[in-house]
Amino acid sequence: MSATLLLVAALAVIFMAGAAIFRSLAGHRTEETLIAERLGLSWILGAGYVSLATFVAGFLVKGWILIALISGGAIGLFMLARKCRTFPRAAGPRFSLRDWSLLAILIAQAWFILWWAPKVPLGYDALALWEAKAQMAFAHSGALPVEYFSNPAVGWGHVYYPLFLPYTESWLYLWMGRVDQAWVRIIGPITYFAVVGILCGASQRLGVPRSAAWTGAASFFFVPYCITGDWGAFVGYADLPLGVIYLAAASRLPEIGSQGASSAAARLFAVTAGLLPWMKQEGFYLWLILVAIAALQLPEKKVKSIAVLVVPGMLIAAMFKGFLKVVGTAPDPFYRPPTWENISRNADRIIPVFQGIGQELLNFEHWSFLWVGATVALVILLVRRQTRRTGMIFACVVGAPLFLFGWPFVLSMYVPVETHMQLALPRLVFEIAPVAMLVIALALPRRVEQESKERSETR
Amino acid sequence: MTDRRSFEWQVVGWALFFLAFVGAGAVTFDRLAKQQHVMDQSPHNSSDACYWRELKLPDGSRRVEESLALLPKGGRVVLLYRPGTYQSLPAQLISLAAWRRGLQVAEVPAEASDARQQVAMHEPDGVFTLDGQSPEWFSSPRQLGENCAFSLFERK
Repeated sequence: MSATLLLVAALAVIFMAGAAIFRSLAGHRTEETLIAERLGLSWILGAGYVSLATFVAGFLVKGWILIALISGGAIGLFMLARKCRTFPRAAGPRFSLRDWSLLAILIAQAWFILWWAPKVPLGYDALALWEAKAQMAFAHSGALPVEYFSNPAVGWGHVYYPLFLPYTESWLYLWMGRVDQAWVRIIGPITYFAVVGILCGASQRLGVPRSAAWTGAASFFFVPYCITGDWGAFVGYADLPLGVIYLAAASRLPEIGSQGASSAAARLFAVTAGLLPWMKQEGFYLWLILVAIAALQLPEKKVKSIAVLVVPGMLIAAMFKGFLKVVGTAPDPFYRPPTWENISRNADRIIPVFQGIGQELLNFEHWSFLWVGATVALVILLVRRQTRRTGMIFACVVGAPLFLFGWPFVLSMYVPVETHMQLALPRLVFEIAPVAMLVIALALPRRVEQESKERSETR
Repeated sequence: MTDRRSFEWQVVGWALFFLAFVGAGAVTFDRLAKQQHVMDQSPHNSSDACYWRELKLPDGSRRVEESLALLPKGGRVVLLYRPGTYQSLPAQLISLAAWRRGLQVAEVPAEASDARQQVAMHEPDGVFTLDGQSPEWFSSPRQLGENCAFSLFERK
């Protein structure tokens, strides 16, 4: 069978598993989510399933047995999810000329990306960290050997990096029966489309009119760092994948406040946010931020309700970190631990680092007016009485990571730290760019009739 | 009436914002032409692009594989390069290729004055240099690309 067909089969398993998990979590509210958002979530959840299953089962079974086991699991999930009853979605307003125009723009952008992305080679980290691990996992019939984590055969660091991306890549290699750096880059465009789909769906779900929601989604294409940045969407880095998970989880926060911990929104939040620590190290801190905001949102702050939000992420983080501890992985040599002594020793870095973050947000060559727009949007959301709660949520969702991202540079062992910031800071900022775009979409003007409807709903 | 006017002003404001946003974003698209592209859609195209960019080594994956194939199974290979520079990534790619073949890899800094002695200490079967032309002490040098050479190593 041709490698391309096998790749399609590998992707089909991911999407099937993801769609099934989504349906199981959303229950009868499945149809309320826009199909574009469902596809985006299916990608995130499906890739999460495949990579976690590879990590767990890969120590026991290899090769075709591993493929059969994980694919069988996906089929099983699909059969179970089919039993969930769903209510049909109420028909939305008819497509206006503006909607058709925006759809045409989105399709043109998708065409451009499918034409452009295959020309872009994998970047430094993609080759040295993520794809290299995928190659090593593939060479071991699907999963990295246990010895790798305690004594990497070759001199790469970052053994302690989570395995969402490498195991998704090795899943494709395993199906194709070969390492293929040309096809593995398909993850970049799929992730980009997931961002666009979730931006469209989440904005509409949170009350933004269709054309405004799609305007926000189409504008993401013009965030310069995304397409033309050195480590943008298509170079195989983990930043946009982390960003799309952050977006998907954060977009559920306003609903948790009104619907509670037993709602579909809370379940979807818990599972998507739980994948953050599995994507990248800083994902753990992003997860902490989201879980704290979600817990504060809960109408009833009971232990059981908070557990619903916390358990998936805690399990995943504890499983991987516990595993690294057990096998004796050396700690991260690039950062000092965040102790008071280390912080005070590097206190002279604090102001320059946060100045650097401010300058980065105003770097128009990377972000155009994204952060200016997001700031104005947050002010609008906070000023309007009916959107104040949403504004407060997203002020934390955007602001807390920006504050947190400064500290690794304060504690960095790279010298000079300015070079470290130059290399890493734009990528960290890129992780929250999708959610910043959502904030802009949420603040777009709504017709008076719609606002009065929202006001009456708030009352 | 006031609400309607306020709505219209907001629409105008955001329309101007998006115009500026798209305009400033689109300006950077001229950088696309300057970015590095892959040369083809072969299974190792990104590694090839890296070998070419950093070492001016064309068809790098194949040439590295051919060189490694000359070494005995379980043999040793030394990489002579400047750590922490543009040579680090191709060095890692060669390490990975060697590891896949079951070879042991050692690294020696190319700038070391006693590089030859350090290489000899590892008793390798082959040596790559990623630091330009092959040193005169390479016994059977093959210049793979402008900045990359390989040699089998004769143990004395």
